[in-house]
Amino acid sequence: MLAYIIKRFALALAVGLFVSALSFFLLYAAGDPATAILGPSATQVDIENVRRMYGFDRPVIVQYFDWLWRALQGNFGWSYYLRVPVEVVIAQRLPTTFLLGICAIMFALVLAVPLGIAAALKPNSLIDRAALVLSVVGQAMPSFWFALILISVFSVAYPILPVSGSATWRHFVLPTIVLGYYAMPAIMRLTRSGMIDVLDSDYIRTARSKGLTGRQIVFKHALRNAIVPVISLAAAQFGFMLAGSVVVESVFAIQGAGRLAWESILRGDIPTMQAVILIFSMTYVLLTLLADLLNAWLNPRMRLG
Amino acid sequence: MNSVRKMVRGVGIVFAAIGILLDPGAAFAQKANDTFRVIINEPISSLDYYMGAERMNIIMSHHLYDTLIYKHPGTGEFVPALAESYEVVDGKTIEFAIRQGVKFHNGETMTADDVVYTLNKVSDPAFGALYKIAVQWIDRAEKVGDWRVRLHMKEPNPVALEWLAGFIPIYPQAYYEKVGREGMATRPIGTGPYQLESVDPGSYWKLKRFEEHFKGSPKGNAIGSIEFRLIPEVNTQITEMMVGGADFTWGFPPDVAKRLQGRPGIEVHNVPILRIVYMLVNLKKDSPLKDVRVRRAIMHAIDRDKIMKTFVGSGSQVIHSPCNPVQFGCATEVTKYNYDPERARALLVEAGYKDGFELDMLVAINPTTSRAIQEALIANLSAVGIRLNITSQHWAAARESWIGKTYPLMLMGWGSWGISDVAMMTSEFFNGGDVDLVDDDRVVSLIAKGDSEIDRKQREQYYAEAIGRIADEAFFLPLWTYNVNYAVSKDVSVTIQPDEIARFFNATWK
Repeated sequence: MLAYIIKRFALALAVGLFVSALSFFLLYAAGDPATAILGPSATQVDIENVRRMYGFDRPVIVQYFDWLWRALQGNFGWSYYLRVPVEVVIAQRLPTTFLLGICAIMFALVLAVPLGIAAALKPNSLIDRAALVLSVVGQAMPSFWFALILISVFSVAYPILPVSGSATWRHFVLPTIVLGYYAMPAIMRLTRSGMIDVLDSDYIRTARSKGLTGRQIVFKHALRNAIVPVISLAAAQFGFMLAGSVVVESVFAIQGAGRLAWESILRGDIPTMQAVILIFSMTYVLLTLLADLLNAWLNPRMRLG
Repeated sequence: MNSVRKMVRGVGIVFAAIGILLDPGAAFAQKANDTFRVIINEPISSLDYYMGAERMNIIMSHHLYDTLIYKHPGTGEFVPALAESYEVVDGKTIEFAIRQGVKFHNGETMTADDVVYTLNKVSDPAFGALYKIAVQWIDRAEKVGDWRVRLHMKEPNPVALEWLAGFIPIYPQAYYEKVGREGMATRPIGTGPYQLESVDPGSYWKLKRFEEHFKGSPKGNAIGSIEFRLIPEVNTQITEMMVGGADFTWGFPPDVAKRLQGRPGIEVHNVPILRIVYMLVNLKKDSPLKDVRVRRAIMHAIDRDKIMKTFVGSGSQVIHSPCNPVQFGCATEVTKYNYDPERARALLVEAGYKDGFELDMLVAINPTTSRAIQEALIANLSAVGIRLNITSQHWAAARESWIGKTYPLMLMGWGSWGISDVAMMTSEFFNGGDVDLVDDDRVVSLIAKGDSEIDRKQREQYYAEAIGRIADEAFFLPLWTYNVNYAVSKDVSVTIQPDEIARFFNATWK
């Protein structure tokens, strides 16, 4: 098991480095970082000045390995744009994004798993149809639009929640609903289909014939097997939430890492962008690893594999 | 039906009550807390002014720091600030009498040494001021008396006072030497009317009144605190205004301005600004645009007045020169190309393009070059046979394409640094440098003379002749001036000027 974990961890590191290298070169393909830092008012003299100052006049490959060498020593450098150490700004932004992601995935699980079970227990019933409608709407509705609707209702028409910011728990309610609702349909549909498959299996029929109660069959025997793929999906969804929270963070003016990544790309802030991408990619891969380990714990057959 | 209404109303009352219980302060304006809450839509990158590169940095610097002189936003006159007076000794020398008794935020007294130190430090190429253009004209500064400083320029610079008044704040020598660039970025010390209270880099900045701000300052600080909060999304910005969560926001489009008009507690204003929108012609690339008749045809084909009124707003005006008419040196008595599609078609036939042609246009993505404007241009030009292929790029990439002379036509906006002088506008495009896509010898020569001449009348003549030729030859396709919308709480009095430098230090409670 230890060898498996080490192997997966090394793989995570390789993926993180590959992603960071790719993003580094793509950023250069998208435009001159010196121009991005200076903005539209800059003259050519200003741009040349910044190129020399930040070493953008060196070959891109040299710049990448220079960054990598410092990063391996734990030095992510200074943000070109915000003029503070990258670690400082990431330490400020990342907890907010993680908190929002955790709240959203909890919201999605709490809503999706019971609904998925209920829909599976009574296929094609009213509750199944309602769950289907809920999931289709959740998948189809742009989170941007949904966020504005919630703000209109709960911050303007009935002002019980703040419009924007991240100062208190109340600021997280609407963003959690928006982000969680987007993740909910996939989890619910997978729970439903998994439960339908399992409930139709031989061992469940055996359990029924032994006289076990419905609750025992669903929660002790069926759900434990049906939930295995859901865990992997939830881990993947959480990863998407971290990277994809940029829209929600923008609408609710939450100062999170998603928006930091977007802003650093727009402004050619290479040290910040590289650090955020490395952290996001590592988090995503580690979440997948944790999901695999959890699945192995829940399903003994997977341990053998 | 009545019962449904009652139920909805009941739910509303319950929700509102919950809201007040959860956040009793939300419903009240911040006048009671003496805090002016400003929403900004782009971050303030660095509080070390010389290391910042955005308009918000300039705005913040006017609050934290002071300059030797100050340009009065209403009259345009240069008035004393950290210098009690100044004298233009000759075309390359200005002497300043430094004001005594001015305190920095850390309690130290500002001296002539601080002034000399700042001017010499920031103009040294090794310092690496991000916007070199603002300081590179300085040769050196020297102390010529206890409170007298003499500034020497490398060459005569007709906009020297503009730079000194708005873009060269004075730093405290001892403090800067101690904390360096990084310290100044996080704990800035200046002489400005406000000092930094707290900051969350990239998202939130709070300033408090500097009680010892010098007497006789042209700046005010009537309001106790000013909060800057970054909200990038325009709908969230206006919603915060509507629910009383902010006192000021700006830069929203005309349709949003209409939605905000008439909302209780909010005033919506529109002010024309120096920024202009234009199409840049590249004569260094082979295309039909090399023929002046085609360039003139494009100008005749675009219904600038209609597009501007529909998508830009009433605060703008159609322009015919490569500059904003309010800028010094911007000649407006030039060849005008009125909307006349028939004339445009005739010119194209004359130029040998009876069946029209395809033309690539680069758009530098910006609020001034919105998709709606692009579509309108496509429709107008298509009507006379010019089929536009549009490529949109963010500024960094667009700038490379510009210098690389990749596209024959470009749609862009330019703000002139908020300086009302064509040296910061027309000269940028026709100085014979990397970004000059026309390189007309006559124009380059006239612009060079205008940029180095001190006599204002003579300068005006050089620029007028250059601008006249640019318009005649349609070397530059001017569209319209831009404008900015802003919304402010009815509790506050604050005015935005055409230079886009928001002077919140002059705000007062009503």
